[in-house]
Amino acid sequence: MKQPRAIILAGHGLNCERETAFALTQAGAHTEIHHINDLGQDVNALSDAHILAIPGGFSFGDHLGAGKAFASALNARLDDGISALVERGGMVLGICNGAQILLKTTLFAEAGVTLAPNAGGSYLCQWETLRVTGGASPWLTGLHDRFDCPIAHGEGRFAFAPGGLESLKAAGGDVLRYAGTAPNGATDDLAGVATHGGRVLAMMPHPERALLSHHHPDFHRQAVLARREGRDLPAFGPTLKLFENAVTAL
Amino acid sequence: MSQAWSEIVILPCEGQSGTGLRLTVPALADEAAGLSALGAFVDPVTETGAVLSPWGTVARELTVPARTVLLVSPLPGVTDPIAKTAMEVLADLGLVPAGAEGYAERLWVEESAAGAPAKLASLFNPLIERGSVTTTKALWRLSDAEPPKVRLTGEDVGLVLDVDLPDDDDALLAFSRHGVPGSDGKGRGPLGLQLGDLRAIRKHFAALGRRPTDIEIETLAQTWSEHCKHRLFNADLAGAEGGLFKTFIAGATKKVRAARGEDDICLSVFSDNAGGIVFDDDYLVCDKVETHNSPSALDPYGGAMTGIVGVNRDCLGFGQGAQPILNRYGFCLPHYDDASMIYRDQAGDSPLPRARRLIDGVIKGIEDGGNQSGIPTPQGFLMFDDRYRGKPLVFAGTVGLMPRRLPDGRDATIKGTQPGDAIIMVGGRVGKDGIHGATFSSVALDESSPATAVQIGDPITQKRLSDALIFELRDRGLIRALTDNGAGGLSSSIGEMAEETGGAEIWLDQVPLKYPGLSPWEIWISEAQERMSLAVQPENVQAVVDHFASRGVEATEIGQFTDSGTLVATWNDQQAMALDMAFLHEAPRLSLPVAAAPEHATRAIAPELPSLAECLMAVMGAPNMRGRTPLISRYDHEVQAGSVLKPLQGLNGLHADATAVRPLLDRPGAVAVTQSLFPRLTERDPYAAAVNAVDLSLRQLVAMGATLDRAALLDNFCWCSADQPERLYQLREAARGCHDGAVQHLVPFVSGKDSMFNDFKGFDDEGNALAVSALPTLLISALAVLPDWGRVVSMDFKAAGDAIFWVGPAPESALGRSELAQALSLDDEALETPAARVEADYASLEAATAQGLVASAIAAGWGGAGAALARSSLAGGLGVHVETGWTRAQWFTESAGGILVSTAAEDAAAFARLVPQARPIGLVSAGDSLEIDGEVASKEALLDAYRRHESGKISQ
Repeated sequence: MKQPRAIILAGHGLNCERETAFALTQAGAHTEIHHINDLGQDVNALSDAHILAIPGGFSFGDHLGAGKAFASALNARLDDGISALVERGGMVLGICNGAQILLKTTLFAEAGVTLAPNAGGSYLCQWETLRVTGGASPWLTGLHDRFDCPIAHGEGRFAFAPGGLESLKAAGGDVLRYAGTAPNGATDDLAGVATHGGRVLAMMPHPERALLSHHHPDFHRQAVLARREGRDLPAFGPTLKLFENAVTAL
Repeated sequence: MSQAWSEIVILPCEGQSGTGLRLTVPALADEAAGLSALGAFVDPVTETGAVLSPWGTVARELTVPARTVLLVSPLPGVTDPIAKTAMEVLADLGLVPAGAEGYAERLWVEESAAGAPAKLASLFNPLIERGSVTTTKALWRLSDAEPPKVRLTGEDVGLVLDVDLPDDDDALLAFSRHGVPGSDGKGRGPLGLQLGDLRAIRKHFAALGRRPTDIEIETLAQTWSEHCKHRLFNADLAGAEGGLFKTFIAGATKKVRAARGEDDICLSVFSDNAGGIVFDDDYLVCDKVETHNSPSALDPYGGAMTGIVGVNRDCLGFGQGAQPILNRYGFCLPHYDDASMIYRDQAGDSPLPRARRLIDGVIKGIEDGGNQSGIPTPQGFLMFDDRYRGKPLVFAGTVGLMPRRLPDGRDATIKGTQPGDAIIMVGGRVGKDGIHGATFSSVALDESSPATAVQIGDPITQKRLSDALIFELRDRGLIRALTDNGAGGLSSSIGEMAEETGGAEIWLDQVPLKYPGLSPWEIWISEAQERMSLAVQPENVQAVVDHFASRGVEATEIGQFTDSGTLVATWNDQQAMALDMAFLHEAPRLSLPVAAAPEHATRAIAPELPSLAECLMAVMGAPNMRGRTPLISRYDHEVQAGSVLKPLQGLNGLHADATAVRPLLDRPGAVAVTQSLFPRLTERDPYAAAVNAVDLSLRQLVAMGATLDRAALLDNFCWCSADQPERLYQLREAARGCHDGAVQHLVPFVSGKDSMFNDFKGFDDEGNALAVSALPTLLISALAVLPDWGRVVSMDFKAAGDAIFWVGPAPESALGRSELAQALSLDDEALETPAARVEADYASLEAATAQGLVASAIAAGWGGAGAALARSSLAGGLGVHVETGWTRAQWFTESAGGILVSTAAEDAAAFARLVPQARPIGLVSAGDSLEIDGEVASKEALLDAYRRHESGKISQ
């Protein structure tokens, strides 16, 4: 099988491009990190790519509200390329700041959904248990129903225009939730939303930071107990599957 | 004709939280342009907005509900990152010309006008911002206000002045205190030069037969400042002839490296912006810890933020450029509930921020600086004491990763500037920000401290610079050398780099400015942030400048390195400076007296202590010991995805002493960091405080699985009144303690920084004179490389039935200067303090860890063995049953050397055989309590004491 080509965006304060590329590489993709300014110069930049990932970060310092400035740059440069990638069955993932950006691109233009400041007013970096529930996304096929993943954001509260949540649910785009009450006050405890048959996923938690088993906060206890029982812990955590799904979906 | 402006207003919709913005931008052309801006700036779900222009208005809604609005905006000339981003977006959309300037005001919508003034006052710092009150209705009309601009006027703007140095000593000292007189006769701000320096300068120029220029005087003041040259730390002292640094710090490193021989891990020590040690065959790690105390006292948020992004640049400027992989922080602060107001002036016009505001500000500064830079910030400490009310201490450190060799074969630790190389300044532009920062941090904070010494950070500009440098340009071999522009600005960075070639020529009129009207001396010493200086071969200049431009970063050729022996600056073809390099870098040595404080006679009466449970409750809820989950949650400690030992550990997530990351996900190596300090003990026994701080920082590393043969130390001396013989004595003894601790453990010091005058002189709210000196504070930071992250051990107990060992000597009973003594207000005079312990040996514990026998480990530090036991227990959610025969005092002394370890029951015998100084003291239990020497403490009550007043919550 030909190795699918994954483009990971970088620049202007995005900062999770390398670990996101690592996760996709581990999942079997051929990964390339490109600065948005370089991609913008090349009309064919995405023409043979199958996966586009917009990683986490702090693009433009969130100065105008998270994601706005980068989305403006993206819409001006890559709008057609991204649309074409989605139309030919490609997979698009926005993580954290990437999700904030993705919601402001034309892919979500009519969805009536956005990400607003956390209800508690402060940035939150902590682990959460997530539920794969509601609609369906090929990104999330075969993942455990519940898995743990860290969040790290100040603007992660999913909010909807009137009727937006209902439309999203009707289209099966409500794909990922916090298992408990959303730590940021998100509507319907949503942690991730999808469109285009679930192939375009915008999620606030960071799956690339839960990729390896030592990422998990309970790892050291689990490792001690496993050693006593003569078991080996798996090297990878539950989210490797998410990245593998992008590779096998094609 | 004045320029026409448009205003773009963004407001959260009714019922939405968050802030709004008003952007004033060059007039947009027409309605289509207005709609385009509205689309880019206003979130259609949660926000409303309007674009108001001379030709009319386009808006999401024609009217908005009447509300009060608070506006806060930067003072003219203060860095305005929001406006910068907005203008980039508009230029990218073709709505304004590239490079056009705008202005941003942040908005808070209030339900009612009542309370607006009080809320507004809490939102801004008048040193750098201004605030006003308006209404939503008014925002929906185009105000005719011009955005404020910096207008620099005066007779000496843009001139190079010749300076007359007075003949008599008193006048010379007054000259140093007030600064070079401008044409109005007023001084430009403190120079911080000593009398001996001033005489040397006068003599030097007399021999040349000319007067010095203002820029030459400023350059000498910067270069010879305590902040840059560490004069006190290098001065001759009785018992440390040749200086404290050479005798005790570099002296220890020299001995350790010789003793380690072939196994020496040092690759670059003391000579660069950070210290570097081996990571593996291909990579090294570097580390640096800085302080930003004076700026944080005036502007807590900006001071702490520029502290962390500033030390990031030390890492970027190390060798050929290292990638920041971990941030650490440390705060020495007044107590949260300290409501006192103190002032820099007697009239009460220049207040320092209240304690609460100071604490919130510095915490937020590290949060924004670290998070926006994409660097994990897992490691830190908080220490509260009333003596940090005048000058808080803000420590900021960064660990970096760099290949040991570049692709072209060059040793990446070597700079290699050559005569003829171009000098490139890259990053932010130069303004009046931070002028006299270096000399200002070298003197006490008082009324004459200049407000321009405050700096505002723009982490995104620096992130762009960092990405281009580290991930794109470094390995292409286009840059010969680089360094950070920190304290002293260009004068320090170019001055240092020019030492390598023996000269430089700088064209000050070529330096890009934030606004016109700066004088040459200001351009030369400005500490405007996010800048670095590069040495580039002439044939590569265009490629480097072009690459930075493609990343939105300005790079400008501003001169060249020479071998002329002279540091030359020109200003519009006029020579502004011609300083002899040898003279510039030979600040006269100081020779200072020390005087031991009178011997402290303790009455040494064994204190009456309450029950162990009450002692544990007091210690676990003490300000320095209690929970800080809200703070840790605000600092992104997971970015870069390398976490192997987190700041919160165990099922209950207690904060830890040691953290570790894997900087490269395809290699097994990890980097661990710890920090330790005993400032209260330093006042009584500076030697013991230093020895024990070194021991504790290393013991914390051994506990988490590191080995000391791959560890290194950093020192930060934040002293007070360091021109007084008694304080110098304490300083010498602390430095001697550093030496002895390092040599005992064979761990080298690789970097350090000192800040000698953490004193505040001002007034209380009745106008009475007031002086507050910080505790003499030595922070020891340690780092270690673990060849395999699999060795890492966390601090939480893992399972009921596990055996608990005390590894090390039995605790002393000295409670002096301990957390327990503080928490119970024990009579300080009656208490002995812990001894310096230099004979520790942790090799057997290292061996047991290597064999996988250690299930949990924690070093007994603040709060002693009692706190260590409680923390492992609470973290794991498990009880204990232990019998030691110790007194209550022994449970809480902060004497050195002890580590609390748990092992599987079946591993206990093997562990005891391998670790001779291990003493079995009991078992982990599934119960709800800690049963200790026949006394009982409730797990739940202790956890509640720990959680009740957690640090780092956002104030309301």
